Amino acid sequence: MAAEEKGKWGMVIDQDICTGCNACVVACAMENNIPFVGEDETAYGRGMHWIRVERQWEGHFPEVAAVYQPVMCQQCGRAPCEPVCPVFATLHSETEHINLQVYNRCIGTRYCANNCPYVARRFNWFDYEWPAPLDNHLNPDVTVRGRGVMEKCTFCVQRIKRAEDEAAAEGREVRDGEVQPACAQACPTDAIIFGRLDDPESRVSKAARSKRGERLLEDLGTQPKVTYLKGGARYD
Amino acid sequence: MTDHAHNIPEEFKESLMFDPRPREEMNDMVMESMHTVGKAYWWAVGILSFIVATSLFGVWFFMIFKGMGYAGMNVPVFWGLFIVNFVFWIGISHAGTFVSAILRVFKAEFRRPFTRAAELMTTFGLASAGMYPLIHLGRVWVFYWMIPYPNQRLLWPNTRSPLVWDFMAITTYLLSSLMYLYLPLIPDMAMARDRSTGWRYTVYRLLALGWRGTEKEWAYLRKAINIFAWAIIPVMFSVHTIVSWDFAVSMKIGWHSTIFGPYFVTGAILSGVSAVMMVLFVIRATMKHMKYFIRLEHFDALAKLVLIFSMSWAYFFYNDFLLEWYGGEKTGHEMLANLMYGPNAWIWWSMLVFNILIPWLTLWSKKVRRTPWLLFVIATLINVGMYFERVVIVTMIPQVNRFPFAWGDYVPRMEIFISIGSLALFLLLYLLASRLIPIIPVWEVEEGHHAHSLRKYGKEYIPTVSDLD
Amino acid sequence: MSEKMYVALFGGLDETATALDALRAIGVAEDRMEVMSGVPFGEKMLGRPALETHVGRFALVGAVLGFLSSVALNFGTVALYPLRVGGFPLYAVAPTWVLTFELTMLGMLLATFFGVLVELIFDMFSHKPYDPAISDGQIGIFFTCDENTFARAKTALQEQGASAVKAVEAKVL
Repeated sequence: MAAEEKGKWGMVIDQDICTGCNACVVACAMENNIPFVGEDETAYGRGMHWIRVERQWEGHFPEVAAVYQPVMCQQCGRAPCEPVCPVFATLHSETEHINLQVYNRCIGTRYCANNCPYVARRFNWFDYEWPAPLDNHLNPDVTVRGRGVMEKCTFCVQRIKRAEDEAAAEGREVRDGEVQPACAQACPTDAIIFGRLDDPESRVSKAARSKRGERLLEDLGTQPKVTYLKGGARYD
Repeated sequence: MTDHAHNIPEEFKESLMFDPRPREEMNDMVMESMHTVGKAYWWAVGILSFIVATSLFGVWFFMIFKGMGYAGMNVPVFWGLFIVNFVFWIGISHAGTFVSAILRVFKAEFRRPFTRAAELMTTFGLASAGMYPLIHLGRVWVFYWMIPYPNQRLLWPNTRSPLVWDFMAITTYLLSSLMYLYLPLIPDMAMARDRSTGWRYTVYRLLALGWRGTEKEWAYLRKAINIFAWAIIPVMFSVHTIVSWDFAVSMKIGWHSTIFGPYFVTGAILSGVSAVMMVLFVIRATMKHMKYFIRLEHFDALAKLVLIFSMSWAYFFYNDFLLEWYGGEKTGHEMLANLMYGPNAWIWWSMLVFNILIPWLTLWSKKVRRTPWLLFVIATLINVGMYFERVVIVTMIPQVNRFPFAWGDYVPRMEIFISIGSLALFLLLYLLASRLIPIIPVWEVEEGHHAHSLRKYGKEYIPTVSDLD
Repeated sequence: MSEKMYVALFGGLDETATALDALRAIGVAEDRMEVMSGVPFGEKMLGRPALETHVGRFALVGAVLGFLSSVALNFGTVALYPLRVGGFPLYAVAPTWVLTFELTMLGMLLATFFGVLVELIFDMFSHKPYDPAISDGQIGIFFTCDENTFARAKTALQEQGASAVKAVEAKVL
C-alpha cells in the first residue's frame, strides 16, 4: 500500500495467531463503557459488543481447523454509513481519517446500520444500566450512550486524541506504538497491531503490506482501514 | 338539464352516467348519507378511538419512555414492521392520486363518483404513513433535527441522505394531496352550506370560502385543478420511488436493485386501487343512497385496473427475482434461499399467491368483477399480499447479509399493536370524514351527466362522451 | 333612478345563453350581468367574454422560488457547514436532483393553490348576491339595472323560460 494521507490510522489483525479468546471484546467493553445486556438479549441479536469474534470452520471433518476473525467497524475511507444519515451523525473525520459517530447528534433512524456491509453497528435499544460495582468501572473519557442512538467501534479515538494532544504539546509527531486501542492492548498473542498507516516505516504499515494481507469486502470500494493477515504456513 | 334523460333506453340505465337524476335529488341523497348516523356508527367510532388511543398512542408513548427495545428489531434487522407499515400506507396513499389525477387527465369517465373517496384515502393513508418515520426513530423527541431551518446547532440536514429526500417528498405529497382534495371540494362545501344549519353550517360556510359558482370562480378553479392533476402525477411517482431508494441506494444484497423504483410504484398502485375497491364496497354497503352512485360498472373498471397492475407487479417482481437468482453472487443466493425455503418462506409464497395467482385466476371473469363482495375478499387478499411483499423486503432480506456470523431472525413484538393502531387510525379518520364532507363530488357527477349522451349511429344507440373541458 | 340587483333562474344551458342575448338586446351591459352555476360552463358555451387568470403565472413564480430554495438547500447549506460523508465530493450534483424536483413541485403547487385563493377570496367574501338554487343545479343570471329596464327584462327572460325572476340582496356568504 502506498503511503497514505497524513493522519490515517489503521489496524492489522493477524488471524494466524488469533486464538479467539475474546479478550479484545472484553477490553473494548471496559474501555468504551459498553453495557452488558444479558444472555437473552444477546442471543436475540442485541449484544452491544463493538467487536465480534467470528469463528469459522475450515476444511472437512476430521481435518477441521477453527479460524477466528474479529470484526469491528472497518473505519472505511468511503463509508457507506455516512451519506445516508439525515443529520450528519456519522461522518468522515478530516484529521484522523476515521469514521466518526456523534452520539449527541444521532436521532436513531438506524439507516447507517442497514447500510453497513460489515454489520458493525450497534443500537441502544434501552437505557442500559451498570449494576454496582460495575458503575465504578465507567471510563470517564468515553460518553455513556443513552437509549435511541447508534454506536460502533471508534478505534478508541479518545486514546488517539490524547496521544495527539501530548505529542503536539511536546512539539513532535505521535510515535509508532504510542497509541494502542484497548483490544490491541489486551490481545495476549499480539495479533492486533495498531498505528499510523501514513508512516511507511510503522509496524502497522509494514504488516499491512504483507502478502498475507486482505481487506474485508474490499471490492465494494469501501476502503477499509483494517487488514486481516491470513496465510496458513506462508510467512513473510 | 335532465331533459335528455327521458329518451334513454332502459339497457343503458345500468350506467350512472346514463341514469341521471336532478341535481337537487343528488344533493339531497348525498346530504342524507352524511347525516345518517346509526348506533353501529358510534360503536365503531368508539371502539376505533379506543384502539387508536391505547394501541397506537399508548404503546408508542410507552416505547418513547421505555425504549425501542420493546419492539422486535435486532442487529441484522434494524428496520422492522414500522417501516413495513410506512411503505404500506404510502402505497395505499397512491390510490387517490392515481384515481383522481391520472384518470382525470386521461378523461376516464368512470372515475367521477369516487374521486373524492380515493383522495380521502390518499390523505388518511399519508396520515398513517407519516407517523411511522417518527415512531421508528430512536430519539423521536429530536425529530425536528431533520427539518431544514436555521438553528442554533449550526447544522443543516444532510441533503444527500435518502431520509431527507423522503421527508421532503412526503411533505410535498401530503401538502399537495391535501390541496388537491380541497380544491374540488369547495363547490360541494357550498352545496352543503346551502342546505345545513347549526354547527355544520358554520363549518361548511368557512370551508366553502364564500363560493357562489360565478364564471370567474369556476374558470380559476378548473385551471387550478388542471395544473394539480398534471403536476401531482410525477410527484406521486417520485414519492414511492424515493421510498424505494431508501432501500435501493444502500449496499445491501437484495436491496441494491435498479428496478426498485417502478417495482414499488406498481406495487403501491396495485394495493392502493385494491383498497379503493374495499372502501367503495364498505361505503356502498353502509351509507345511504350509495348504490345509486357506486355501481357495478365502477367495480368492474377498477378490477380491470387491478388485474393490469397485478400483471405489471409480477413483471417487475420477476425482473428483480430472476437477476438475483441467475447472476447473483453467493450472498444473494443465500438470501433468496432464506426467502424461498427459510423458516418464514410461507410469507414469500403467500405473497406470490395473493398478488399473482388469485387476481389472475379470478379477475378475468366479468362475473367476478361484478360481484362486489367477492372483489372485497380478493382486494383484501391482494393487500395482505402487498403487505407481505414489504415484510419480505424490509424484514426478511436483511436477515441474510455478507457475514453469516451476523445473520439473524426477526420476531415482531410491540410493532403488532402499533400496526393495528394505525389501521384503526385510518379507519377512524375515514369514518369521521364520511359524515363530515360530501363523499360524492356531486358537481363532477352532474358534469358527467351533461357530457354523456347517446348517439344514433345507423340503427344503434352508441354511448358518447362530449369533451366539455 | 336607483338600480337594483335581480336574478333570473334557468334550468338549462341553452335557455341561459339565449336569455343572455335577450338581456343584451334590452340594454344591460356585459359587465352588469354575471352567471352562476352548480357545474362549470366555459365562457364560450355561455357566449360571454373570455376570462383572464394569473394562476399559470403564479405557478411559474412558485416553481422558480421552489427551485431556488432547493439550490440553497443542496449547495448553500453545504457551503455553510462543509461535512464530508462517504467519500462524496462536497458539491455532489447527482443526488441533488431529488430535492430540486420535490421543492420545485412543492413551490409550484403551493403557489397555484394560494394564487387561486388570492385571486378569488376577496371576490368570494364580498357583498354579492346569491341564490341557493344555484347549488341545486339551476343556472342564475344576476344582473343590475333600473326598474324600467327590469320590467322589460322580466318579460323577456320569462319568454326564454326563466323559472323565477326576482330581486336579490347582496350579502357576504
